[in-house]
Amino acid sequence: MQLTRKPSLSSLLSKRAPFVLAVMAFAAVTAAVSTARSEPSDDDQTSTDREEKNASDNKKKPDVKAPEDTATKRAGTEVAGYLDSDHVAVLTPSIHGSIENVSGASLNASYLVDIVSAASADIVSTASNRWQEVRQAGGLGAQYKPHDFGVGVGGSVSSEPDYLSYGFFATVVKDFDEKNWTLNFGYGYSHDTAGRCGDNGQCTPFSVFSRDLQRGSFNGGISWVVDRASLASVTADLILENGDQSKVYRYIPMFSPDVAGTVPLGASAAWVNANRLPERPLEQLPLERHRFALTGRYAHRFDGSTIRLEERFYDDDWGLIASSTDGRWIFDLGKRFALWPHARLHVQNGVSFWERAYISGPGESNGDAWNLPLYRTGDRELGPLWTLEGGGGIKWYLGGDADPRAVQLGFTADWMTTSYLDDLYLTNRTGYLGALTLEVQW
Amino acid sequence: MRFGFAWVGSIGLNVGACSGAQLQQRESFMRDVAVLPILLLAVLAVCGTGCSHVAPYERGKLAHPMMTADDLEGPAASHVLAVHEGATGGGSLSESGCGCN
Repeated sequence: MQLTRKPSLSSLLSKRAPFVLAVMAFAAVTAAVSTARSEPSDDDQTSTDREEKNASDNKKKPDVKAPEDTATKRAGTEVAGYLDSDHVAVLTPSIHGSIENVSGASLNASYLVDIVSAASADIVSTASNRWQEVRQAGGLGAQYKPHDFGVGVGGSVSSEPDYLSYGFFATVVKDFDEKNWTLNFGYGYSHDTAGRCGDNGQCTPFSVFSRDLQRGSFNGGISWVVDRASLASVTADLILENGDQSKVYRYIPMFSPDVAGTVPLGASAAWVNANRLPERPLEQLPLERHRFALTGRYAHRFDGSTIRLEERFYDDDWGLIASSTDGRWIFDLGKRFALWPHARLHVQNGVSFWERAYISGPGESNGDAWNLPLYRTGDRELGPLWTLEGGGGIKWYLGGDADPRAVQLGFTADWMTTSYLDDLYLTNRTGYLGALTLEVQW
Repeated sequence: MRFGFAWVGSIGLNVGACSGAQLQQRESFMRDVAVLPILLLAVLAVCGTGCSHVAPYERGKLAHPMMTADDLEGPAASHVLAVHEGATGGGSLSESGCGCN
């Protein structure tokens, strides 16, 4: 029996207040864009007055042309595929579009679908079958920056059978010294609800079982013109997460103290099952996480190429420290092509409670209870690892001679290898990511 | 629940509930966060003294499409990185979470 009642409108509004605010703000900016596009203004005339005035104007000025549509519209699509040596395959088609007015108002929207098929070591180790899932995500955004000060708002939703996330954000930006440097600040909020689905695909309703995770993100940065050919920026992110983000499918093997020290790196599922203790509790992570990232970017334009570099330093109060270094060198091949190599190196240590083999034993007071570690995880992305990524991309500009970039066909391909330095089941994963894009501007 | 700007103050106030190791990590984390204003001031100082003023008519190279802040990666590549790396940040505020890993 479900112990739920139909929520009232007021309770829904109070629970969804951030979302409602985001929608209202989006509607307000939409109205601003619409108003800006409907020049010249007719002030407060009635429609009848306006028709008469227009008819009169047409008689007086028969050669008056309709206002020219000066808005820039963009639309694009991407089809991406990912495959790795851990038997995970993902197909991600997506679309996006935007419209930008000369007054500085713009709107954008995006939608994507993730179709995931997995039979990874984590799933095999729980004796589950191959697993398939579809995720849908959409986003809307609006910006208004008529001069040197601008604001932006937006929202996004992501939905899977056992996971629902929605969020909104607001940003402000201010240019100084003839746009030689710019400050920007932003705040984002998101709310995630995690549920559970069975092997047969049937899911427990969120009203019966769910876990909530709330995330607040503060973002601030400065970008500046270094010289006539170089731009740089520094951005700081502070992300505050509150809630239980432990995975409800992730069971953690426990070992006795004398066995734990002998567990080999990358121990197979068969080895683990033969040597672990009988109990296998669910993952348990701390209920709060404070994350901080500092990102620097640099771009330099040479005569026939552009180099773009990025370095991100990351730290959080779970003890994870990471560095991510990313670079691209984009070469112009005439007016019709651009080609670039891409490389990325990510290095991180593990969280403070990371263990390859967690130790457990009978409790002191009750022989049936187990003395489990307070925090335990099998999430490899919380352990020590490094990832090296290499690849490249190409863009083919198919527009007319006046503006070849009005139509762009692109292809990117990346290879990535991850080395897990202190894990069960896996010591290495190799992945391949390819994406085909088409973008049109008019 | 504690959200919005109240969270900023809560970072320091919640340390009492932590174990010794967690307390050390949180203090280390706070030190990193405290470096931020110093770093931004340093950037402003460098920019104020070391960067030349570039007039709008001198920005032909800066206006090249490949110099924009737009990412050359699509949403799929960003998502793969988000799932593969334990770190986050430096991207858009507009992304929703997922139960992907």
